[in-house]
Amino acid sequence: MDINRNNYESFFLLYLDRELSSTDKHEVEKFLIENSDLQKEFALLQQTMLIHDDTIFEPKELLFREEEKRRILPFYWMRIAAAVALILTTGWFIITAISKNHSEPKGVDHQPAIASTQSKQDPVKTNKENIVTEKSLAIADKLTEKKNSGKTILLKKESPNKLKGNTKDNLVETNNADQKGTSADVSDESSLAIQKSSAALEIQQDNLNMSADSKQVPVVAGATASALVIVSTDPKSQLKKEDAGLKESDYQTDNSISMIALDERNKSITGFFKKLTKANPDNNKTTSTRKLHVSVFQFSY
Amino acid sequence: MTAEDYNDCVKLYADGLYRFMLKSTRSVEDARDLVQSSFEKLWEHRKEVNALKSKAYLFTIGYHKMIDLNRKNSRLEFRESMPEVAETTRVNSQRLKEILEKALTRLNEKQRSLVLLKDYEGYSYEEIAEITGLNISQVKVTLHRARLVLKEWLVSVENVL
Repeated sequence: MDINRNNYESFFLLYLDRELSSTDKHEVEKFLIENSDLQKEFALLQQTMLIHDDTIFEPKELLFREEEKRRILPFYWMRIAAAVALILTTGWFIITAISKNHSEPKGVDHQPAIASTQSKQDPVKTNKENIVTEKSLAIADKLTEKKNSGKTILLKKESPNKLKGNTKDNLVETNNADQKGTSADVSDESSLAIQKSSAALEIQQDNLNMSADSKQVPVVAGATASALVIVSTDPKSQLKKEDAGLKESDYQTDNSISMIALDERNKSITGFFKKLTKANPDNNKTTSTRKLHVSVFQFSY
Repeated sequence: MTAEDYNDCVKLYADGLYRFMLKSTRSVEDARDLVQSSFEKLWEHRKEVNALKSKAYLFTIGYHKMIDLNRKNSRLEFRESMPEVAETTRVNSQRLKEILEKALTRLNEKQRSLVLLKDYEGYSYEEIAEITGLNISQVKVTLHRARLVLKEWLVSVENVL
């Protein structure tokens, strides 16, 4: 730095503006000492420096800011999960209900009607009765086993004329003329069902009238299609087998009804009704009141 | 910079910015509006601003806003009439501070701003250049001329006193 009397003003200002290095500042101070006549001018320039005042900005709350808080949904996913669970549960119930309605027949809801009707029309109901579907070969085979003691009732919800004509022939064919078929319109498959249960049909001829009458019974009144219902008696052994779920100490399961229900599309339901007799624990006598109790009911669609 | 950095700026620099604006505009309302609008802009651009340079950014905003406002309001004429100056010179030397503030009116807008930034806020020539958009040489020359104007003013006052 070369400070002299020609350029000192600039160095004085740089000094006052704190723009000089410590070495240069030292040079300026040395120059001032050596040129004392310029100290007044230096002081005058020093006075041009503005002094801080106490001006403040109030209130500063006008200026303070905060980040906008994010909207937090702590249970967002839980809400979604709950909604999904609710939807799935509801859907499951709906599907279950629909499948029940489809598979549940017609016959199930009306079983009490069948029973009560038959109990009115068939005074001989002292034996067990089974309801077997046409396609249920197993149950049909059971009916075959019930040759000697079984009783079969054929019910058909259809026009009586057609029922009488066709069913009679079928029954005659299948039952070897022991029965007067008046009961049902039997397709090939239903004929097969009847054949399968022919043993039961041939047992009691007097029940044919009842089975003919039972066409009017709303056995399948709830059904949307015509159906053939065969009610037959079963041997006690079969009854016991099917009555395994009951307490024999409470009931004497000496009667049962198997049923075959056929619709026009060869859809079938199988069911098993059982007539229970309340046992008298004191004298082992059975009461006269009989209830038709459904112990097994199976649908095969 | 974060919101916390911003609020620190308010605590540290609001007074200085307001002082700068008040000396520059000589209007409390304008100065407050400029401070608020400057901080508003700083807040809007806080994510782009380095916290270490927030003061320079803030004063840059304020300086340019002040220039715009003065140009809009045609408040560039601060030069007061000599009778007022003469009246001011009657006060004693203890009021030198007030006299100097009055002397600021003798400076043009650029000179006044640079003097304020230098003396009030202690910015270096380089920082002033950054804020004002001038180069360092321009800052140096402008500031030196402003000092000489102020010195002449003080000399004239001393002559009166």
